[in-house]
Amino acid sequence: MATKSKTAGKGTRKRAKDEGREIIRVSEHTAEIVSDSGEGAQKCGQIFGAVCAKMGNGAWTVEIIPAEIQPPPRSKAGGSGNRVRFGTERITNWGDATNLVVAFNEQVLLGRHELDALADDAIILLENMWATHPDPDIQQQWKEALEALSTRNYRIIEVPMEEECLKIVEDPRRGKNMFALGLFAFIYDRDLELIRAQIAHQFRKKSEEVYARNVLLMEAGYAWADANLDFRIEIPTVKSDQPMVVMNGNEAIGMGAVAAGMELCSMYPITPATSASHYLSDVFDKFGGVVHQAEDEIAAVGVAIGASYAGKVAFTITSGPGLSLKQEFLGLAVMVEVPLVVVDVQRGGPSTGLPTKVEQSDLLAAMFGQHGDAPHVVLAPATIEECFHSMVTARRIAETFRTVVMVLTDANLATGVQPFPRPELDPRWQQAPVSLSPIPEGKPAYDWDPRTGLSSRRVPGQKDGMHTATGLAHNEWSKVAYDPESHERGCRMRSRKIAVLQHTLRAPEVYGEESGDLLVVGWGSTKGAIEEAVDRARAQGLSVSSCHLTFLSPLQPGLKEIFRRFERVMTVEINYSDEPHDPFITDENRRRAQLCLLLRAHTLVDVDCWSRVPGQPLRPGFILNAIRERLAMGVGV
Amino acid sequence: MTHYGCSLLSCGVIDERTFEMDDYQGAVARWCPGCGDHSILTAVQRLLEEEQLKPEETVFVSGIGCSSRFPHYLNTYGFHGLHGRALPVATGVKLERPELNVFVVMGDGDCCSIGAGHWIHATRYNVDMVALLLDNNMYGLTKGQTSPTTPLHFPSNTQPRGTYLEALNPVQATLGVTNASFVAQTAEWIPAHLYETLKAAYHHKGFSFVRILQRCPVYTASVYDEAVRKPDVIEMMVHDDGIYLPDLDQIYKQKIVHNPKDIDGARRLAEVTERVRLGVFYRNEALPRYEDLRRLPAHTAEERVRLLSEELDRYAV
Amino acid sequence: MPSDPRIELALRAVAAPIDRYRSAVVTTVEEVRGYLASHRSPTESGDGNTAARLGAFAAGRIDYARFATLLTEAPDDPERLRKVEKAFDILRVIAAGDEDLFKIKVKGGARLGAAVAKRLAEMGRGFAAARVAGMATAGSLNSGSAEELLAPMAFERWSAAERRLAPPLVVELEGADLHAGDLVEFMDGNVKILLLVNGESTPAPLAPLITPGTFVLQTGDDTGLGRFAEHEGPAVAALVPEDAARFIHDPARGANLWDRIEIYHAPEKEPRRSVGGRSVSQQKQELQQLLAMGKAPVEAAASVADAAPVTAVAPSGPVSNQVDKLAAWLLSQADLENIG
Repeated sequence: MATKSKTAGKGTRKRAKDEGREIIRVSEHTAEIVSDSGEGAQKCGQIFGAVCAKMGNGAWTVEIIPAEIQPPPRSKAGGSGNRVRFGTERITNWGDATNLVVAFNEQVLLGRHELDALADDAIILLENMWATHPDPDIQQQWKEALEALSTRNYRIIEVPMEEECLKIVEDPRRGKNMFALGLFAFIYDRDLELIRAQIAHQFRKKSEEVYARNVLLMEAGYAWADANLDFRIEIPTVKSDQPMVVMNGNEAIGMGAVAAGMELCSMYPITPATSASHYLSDVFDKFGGVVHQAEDEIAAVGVAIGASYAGKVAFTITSGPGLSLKQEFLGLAVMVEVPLVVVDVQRGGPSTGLPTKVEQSDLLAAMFGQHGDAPHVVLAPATIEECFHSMVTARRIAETFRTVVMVLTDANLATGVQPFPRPELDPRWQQAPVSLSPIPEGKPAYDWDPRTGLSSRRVPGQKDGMHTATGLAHNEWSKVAYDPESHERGCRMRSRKIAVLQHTLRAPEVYGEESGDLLVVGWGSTKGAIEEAVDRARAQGLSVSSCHLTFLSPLQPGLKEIFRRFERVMTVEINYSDEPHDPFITDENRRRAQLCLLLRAHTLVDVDCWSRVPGQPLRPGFILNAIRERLAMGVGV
Repeated sequence: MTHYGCSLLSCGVIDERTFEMDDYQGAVARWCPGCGDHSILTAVQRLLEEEQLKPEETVFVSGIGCSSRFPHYLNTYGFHGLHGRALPVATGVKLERPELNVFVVMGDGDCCSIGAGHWIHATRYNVDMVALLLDNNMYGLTKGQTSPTTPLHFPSNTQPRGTYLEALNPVQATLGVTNASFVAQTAEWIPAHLYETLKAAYHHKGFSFVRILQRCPVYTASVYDEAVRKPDVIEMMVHDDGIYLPDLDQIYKQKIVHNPKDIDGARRLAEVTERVRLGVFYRNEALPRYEDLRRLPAHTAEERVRLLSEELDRYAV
Repeated sequence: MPSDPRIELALRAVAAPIDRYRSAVVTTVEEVRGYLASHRSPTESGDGNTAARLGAFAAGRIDYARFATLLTEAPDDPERLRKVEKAFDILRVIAAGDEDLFKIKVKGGARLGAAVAKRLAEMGRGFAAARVAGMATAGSLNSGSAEELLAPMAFERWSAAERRLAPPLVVELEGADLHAGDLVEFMDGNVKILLLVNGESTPAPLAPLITPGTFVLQTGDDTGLGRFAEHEGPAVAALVPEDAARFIHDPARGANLWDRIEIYHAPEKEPRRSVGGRSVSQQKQELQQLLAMGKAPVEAAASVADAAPVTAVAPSGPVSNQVDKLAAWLLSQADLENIG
């Protein structure tokens, strides 16, 4: 067992007198488990993340997802697992690098190493059965991999996981994950009762026998670590006074949909949106709700529009390619003023792109993807908590304004797990959107208020409300009208609603000082990483603040005013932009990041951008580098 | 939901209205003179009157095309949506509001071309609604392009030297779909038969697919010419459980007894021959309906809040 | 006695009709909740209401006062609103009520008809409340008193639409108190009454209720209860003691009476003593009528003549006419003195 290097993590270490074991005290740590796909590493990571949260740590869990469903075993690209960043304080993002990793084979570990995912002084607990594997090729691979890993300062601890597990089960492939959980439990001194309860929760659909075996394996891992490791890592936990819940973003979307009184989720399977539908499919019927899996993305939104037209509360959920397919229907919903909530869990694009990976590149498609002028609302929750609450607000806005509200999340939020204050539920979120009262005589189908463009909703069943909703240009009676006045009026009324909504919005808050050298503007899931980078920059004496936008259409008021108070404004986004110094790129032809483009048009401020498309969440350290780099380029807008 | 949630709010109101044909009249139909759609509109209005369907509880959903203007000409609720996408919208309406009477009006481009996927699946869902395919064998609104049902070698503006492929047979296609529960064919120039077919479709519980042969005087005037002029081209499928109109015996002498329960017979009869067959090919009310399978009891807001609170407990830290 | 297996069986049998009824009430509750939320005056509802309706995501991002002006429709008159609130409460109580709402027990010697009428009138408060709320949403609710509208509403005042949504009832009673005539007035709309008969009963107590549109079932177990619950139209069923007849009359099974009736158990023992004031001969007659109705046409006509040598019954004319006449005659023979 090699124990050569220093350990990782922030903070100081102390040696506990009574144990003769090194106790590393840190304020936060990032731990991950990585295995071949199908070895259950994700289950282990999820349980560990949930237990950390339940013990009172701030936590942010992200999935490590292989791109293929069944990649070959022991391949660098096939690593699957979870990464848990947790600490004493609130954790808002996935952080920079992993401090401790449990790996089931050296190849997936090598994959993580090559991705630069591991801290230079990371502790590695590595399954060592491969060193003595009967296949000489594998032995050779092991040797080469360990050589490659030795270029860094890693502290590699070999663990005979297979051997230990075989003492308990016949097929260790189906239990090593629980052994690994035991390792984590010992190292981080986790509450074993909580772990057992969480195992029970995770395997609630399986038998008592499965539960008992998993607990045995976990305890074996714990005992092995106790007997063989000369260190433990201590992260003080602070139990929150507030009741908390912990879940991933897609579960939060699904639960938020229930809380918002949704009655129908009409969807077609697509990664990474589908897991929200999985969650809903599991629980929705007990609330009287239905998940309708339609024959395609187009039908999925069509059924939702039909249901909403009929006066019920429906939404659809999709990811990039599905959004493209739904665009014609979304334009129709805007045109006939049928309220509709659309969740887009963004992934890497264009085309099939990076199906399982994060990107923020659907913003412009969400806003402008419909042909013609189709003004509607676009929101972007920034945290898992906001995924939940945004559904309630989205429904209310959709119904009040009779329009489409798109909720943009992404693969990072969808699979990230974070504790947040338990929502206080309100029955008013659930109320029926309309009552089937008769329509007074002489009231047109679109009784547009000429000032606001708002009109009252009307649905089948309402006596004397008969009319034909049409996607053709129409007048207030919903009669097809091709004359210039009618079309202009319709466009104006639909557009006016967005201005009225904007009028009810407040200016966004500035994180940090109200003025300074640089303002970083972000949207969606990058909030935590950006704010952490800003904190670090300010700690280094840099004059940086940030501002996170949740309403993207309409944009919140006061942006120009805020931007003017900073020498420089830069968006940070996970979508493509040209770097200013790339070949052929000039200020004139530079393609900028999506929010940047919008803000420039909206404010006439020369907003800059820094964006990347790594298929991963942005690391605060990288954002910090970008901030320093931009500030070094000199100030001045 | 499809919970059984029909509202009680208007239950206590004594509704003594009776509806006349005129009560179902919307805007004045603007189809070409001689267009078969006029006759279909009249038959539908007659059905609405005969069944005394409340205008506010009746929804006509259409796609895009000449025939899809249909809802505008009725005084019911209507949804004139996207080309090819009438069926998903109608499915959403009926799934959530099973108490409404839902009709779908599609053209051959709508149903058999751009929306063909929805056609197959709507048939399989077997949601209780009447789906009318107004088949004039051509794209009319966009002025004469080949449709999937355009007869072989028939010229159009997109295939001026004639179509290259044999026409798709919508009846045969529908009969091939799992869970198809009602398939009929009729012709707009035989109003009595058209009406009886619509009536049978309306009374069928499930997805009632009716292909209506419809003349387009502008682009496909010759296609049904022979069938209109020579009644012997038409073969009436008759049965007590299907459609039998003795009054038509004088004109339409070609008859074949076909029991609508007989799916194999239906599929044989649906094959293309020199004869045009009208009547009910298949009917089966025993097949499951999607909206019934998905039906759930409703819960009050308080119940839902309580249940969601229990759900949050599972995720509590 | 929730552990009584017969009550459990009965409640299971009416679970779907209960769901249907309750779903309608629930849907109405939520509609009324929406109406109330949007028709309170802005000053009364305040920013708190807007904040609550928008959810936490809006906090700090949406100006509630400004948004409130968009949410509120023309505020309703406070007095009218109070009425709607009262109606809302009644509907909520019914929506939240457990299965006891759908269960009654007739005390020995008490009137079945009166007990059913009383419970249906109580349930009718829900319909009355919905009428008040419906008038409010339609703008036709005056500001005068609505007290009587919110009071119990007897079945006779239910509209056809309300009768179609009638709640099912499970009624426990002594066989001696089972006078089918008591139920005639309720056999309308979609009313479902399931009787749990204790003690001795006559052999075919429900036979008098057989009319072309009414589903009638006598059973000893769950046989036929599924069809009872699914029948679209009025339906009555009884879980009868072992020595009573067991049969189904299902209107969906054809136009002929004998097609619709399926008798799968006729009592072996002759009635030997009077039950609930019905003599042995009355009981025999009741049973013979049932058996006659279930038989093929020729025999049926003959045995009906046997059982009841009343000239008015002599079957003639088309079959449907015969059926109606037969039904009418049976009703006339039934014990109707308890209807009131």
